[in-house]
Amino acid sequence: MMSCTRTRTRAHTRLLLAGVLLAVTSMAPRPSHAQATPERRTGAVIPERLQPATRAAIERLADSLEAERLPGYAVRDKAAEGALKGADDARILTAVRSLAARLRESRSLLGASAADDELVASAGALYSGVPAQGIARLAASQRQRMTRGNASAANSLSVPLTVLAELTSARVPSDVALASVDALLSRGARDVDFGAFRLAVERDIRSGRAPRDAVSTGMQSTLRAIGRPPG
Amino acid sequence: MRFSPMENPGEHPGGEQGDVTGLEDVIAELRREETVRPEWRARLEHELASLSVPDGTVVQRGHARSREESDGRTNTRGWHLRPLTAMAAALTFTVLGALGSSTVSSLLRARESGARETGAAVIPAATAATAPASPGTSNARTATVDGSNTGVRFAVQAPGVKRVSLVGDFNGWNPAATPLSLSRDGRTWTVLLPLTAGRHTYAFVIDDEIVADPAAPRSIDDDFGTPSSFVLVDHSRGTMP
Repeated sequence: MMSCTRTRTRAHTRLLLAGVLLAVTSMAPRPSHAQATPERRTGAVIPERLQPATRAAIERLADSLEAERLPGYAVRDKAAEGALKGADDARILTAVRSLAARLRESRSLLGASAADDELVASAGALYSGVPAQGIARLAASQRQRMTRGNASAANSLSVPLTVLAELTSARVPSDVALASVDALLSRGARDVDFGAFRLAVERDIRSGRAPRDAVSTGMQSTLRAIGRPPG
Repeated sequence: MRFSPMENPGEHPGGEQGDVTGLEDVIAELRREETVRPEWRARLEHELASLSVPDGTVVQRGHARSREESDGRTNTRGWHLRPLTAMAAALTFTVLGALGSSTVSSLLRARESGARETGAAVIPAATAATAPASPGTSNARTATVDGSNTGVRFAVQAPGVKRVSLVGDFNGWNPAATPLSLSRDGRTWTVLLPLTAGRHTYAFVIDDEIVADPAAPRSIDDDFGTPSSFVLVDHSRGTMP
């Protein structure tokens, strides 16, 4: 009789402890979906108005890029943009293949740790005529700064590469554009500083100043605004 | 207690019948209620009564025990729970836990969302909110792109048109995905869009015509002959530059 009571009481206690354990477990904050599984862009749906063969080719290209840990979404987006803008299949295929090649080249220039948006920005820089060696040098300099413990060197190169591409397409000599972006990075410039720099240069060029001079003036004003010693 | 000589059952004088009788005797003996001698019972009760209990402690049967080694006796302390009480307590803890978890998760999500929303800022990409009229259109159009606390606000002045939408790499270049709303002034079409940090290529679709933002820089990687614009979104700052 006594033994039976003990067994029952133990069972009740275990039940209670299980409840407490369950409560404590459920109290622990669960990670949100974004934290648990990093969201990866899939890109646009390839438009149905394209020929099946074209669509299949673009899908294969996107899949192979993703298998290489490259942003396949970029070629899907490019195809959707081309379809919306009324480009024919051949032109769209040419554009996406060219983009895929630039993305692959960007991976080799920026290294295995480069993020998707950096690869896309680098592809844009290559498109605008920035020499591949220049991009590689810029990335290497940034890695060196990171090795030396410069905290800002851990920032993404996406915006600096975008600004580099914009400067080059605005007829700023690529060596000047590269040197200015590298100098800003060494001063720990943030994305917003790069934006201000690009804006100043564009404004000066529009007002008739020579691109090289516009960069020089823009550098001075941006460096004054940053006010940090070279890193 | 009596036992039959069972060492060699086959040699029992009574044969099989004798075996059955012997077995029944054993069963009956085993079933007989054991009697406790009255003097033994009295002695046991006396000894139990002599056990001292700490002051004010109620000894209960339970499962939580502590052995007090000092006097070599076992002092049982504990608490007693009825099954329904235990189940109710477990259920209460579970519900409390679920509520707490939900609250904590909501707070975390709100904080994360707040950080994302308040951090949206558009990196300066255009100098002015006004721009020349778009080619091929009769009405002058101006556009602005502003970072705000809740996203990036796209606006274009396009009086007299039926519909305006925004297309870009953020919505798969789908003209149906992001329509703009006409403001009270009857001229300005706007939309507030949460965008991830980085560079985004976009254009307006005004009455089925694709038009680059007249106030934003043109995207350089235009492969299709129809220009687009781009916007840089920075989430590292909470204010507009």
